[in-house]
Amino acid sequence: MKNRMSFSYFLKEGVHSIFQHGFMSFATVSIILACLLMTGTVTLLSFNINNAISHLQAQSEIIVWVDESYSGEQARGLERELLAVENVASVEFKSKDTALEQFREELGDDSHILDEFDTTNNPLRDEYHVTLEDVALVRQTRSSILQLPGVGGTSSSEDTIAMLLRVQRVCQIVSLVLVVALGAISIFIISNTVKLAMFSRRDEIAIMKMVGATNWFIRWPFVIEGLLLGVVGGGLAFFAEWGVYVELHQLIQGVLPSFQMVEFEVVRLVILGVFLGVGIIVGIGGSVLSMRRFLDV
Amino acid sequence: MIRMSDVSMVYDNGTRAVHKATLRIDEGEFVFLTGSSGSGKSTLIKLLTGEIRPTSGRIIVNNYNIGNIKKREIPYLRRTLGVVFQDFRLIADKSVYENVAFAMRAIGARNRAIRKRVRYVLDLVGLSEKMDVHPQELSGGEQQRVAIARALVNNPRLIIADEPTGNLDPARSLELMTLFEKINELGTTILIVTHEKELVDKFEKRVIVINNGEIISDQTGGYYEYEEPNEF
Repeated sequence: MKNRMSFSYFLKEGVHSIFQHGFMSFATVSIILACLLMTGTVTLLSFNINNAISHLQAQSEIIVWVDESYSGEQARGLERELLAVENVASVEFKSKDTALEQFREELGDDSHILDEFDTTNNPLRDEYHVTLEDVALVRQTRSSILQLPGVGGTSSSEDTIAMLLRVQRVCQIVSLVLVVALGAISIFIISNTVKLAMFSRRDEIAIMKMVGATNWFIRWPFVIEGLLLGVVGGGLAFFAEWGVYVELHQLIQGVLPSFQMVEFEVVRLVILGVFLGVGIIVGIGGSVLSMRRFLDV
Repeated sequence: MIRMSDVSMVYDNGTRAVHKATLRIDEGEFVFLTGSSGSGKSTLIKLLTGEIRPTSGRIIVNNYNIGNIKKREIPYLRRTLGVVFQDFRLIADKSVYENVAFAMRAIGARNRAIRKRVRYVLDLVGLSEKMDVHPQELSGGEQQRVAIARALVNNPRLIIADEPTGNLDPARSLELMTLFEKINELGTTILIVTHEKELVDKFEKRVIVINNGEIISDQTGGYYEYEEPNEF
């Protein structure tokens, strides 16, 4: 009964204090919102770029041509040996006849230039399309494949893969630096805002101490206030992020149609959880930590 | 109630604020603690409320040993005391009722008990008609009476008032001292720190004089004998 009464008192005091110190509450919510929005947008963009690069890398493959001396059956037998090579993720066989048919289709109206070729005098070779587990090791994997008997040659876009890897690395570093810098700035601004709010209430805290209030009796309304401000700041940041992301999505798709961005719905719950969690931790943590020195009287 | 023996207090910067002070204040007494500015009065109050610990000596206040009191016990020591300050220290955004009730809430009192007791103490200090107004709407004397009501509300055994009349005119000061006398007659021990000679002399209570951190006089039914140095 007593606990329930105390809780309703703390809740009432916490809510009352938010409105009583309206400007500081507004400042705290605005700063939580701005920091989460900036950090969140950079993280989401970086996530999308990383995602797109990983997708491109996954599509990078080594084409393995089978030696001309190998019959169709022998060529198919090479599949097991290719799969045994380290770093090979999957292999897909394409017979020279299928390749010829595809070539004809690609040429369309000009396919008549291939009229003199058929299965008896097909100039193409049987081939394998090999995907890799780690594209960074393309060079080593390629040389291992070349050593296999029956392999007539290979082709891979090593330079493109290397370029993609460099772009991904730069992108990761830039986004990490931005997130760390924005995070540090956010913590600095938020802790100063909360300190300022606490400083304006140091007399109130001193009076509470003087009448015999325990530290937790003093802290609870501040904890509730911090929690509510954190939830409001995190919640508003979530909706703002939603709006910003949808706009960015439309803008980028208009300029770079091939750049596939993740739909907001896919990451919505994660963003909501992280924003509310960070908002609450910052709200409560900021209040409790910055009031510590005022409690020591 | 209060037992001090050979209490000294030297601050970290080397200032000697209290030196070998020994005194005893019993239940139901009315005591004036006087002395000039910087004589050590405020340090003595801080020692009694557990804000600071003595460098040496022994202080017992309402059965709490201030020298080795644990941090978590300090709130419980303060609940046995009522403290009144020169600058009232009321919370501006709370009503008179809430300022007083707040001290009871801090010790976990129930709402019904709070309503009953707050009305009683506000009536005792003559402010029952103003319980819904805010401190800034009251005169200095009235604000100090709210502070006294707050100090009284938890029924403390001892009230310590630090220059309670410092911001009041002589008529209001006299009125306030009469209120303290009335509270004392109801059984609460009163310790008033002041340097107002007229008031001390008028009430003829026990007077303890402190100078340069040392207790130089302690007389029951005494007068303010210490003369402040003339600067001119």
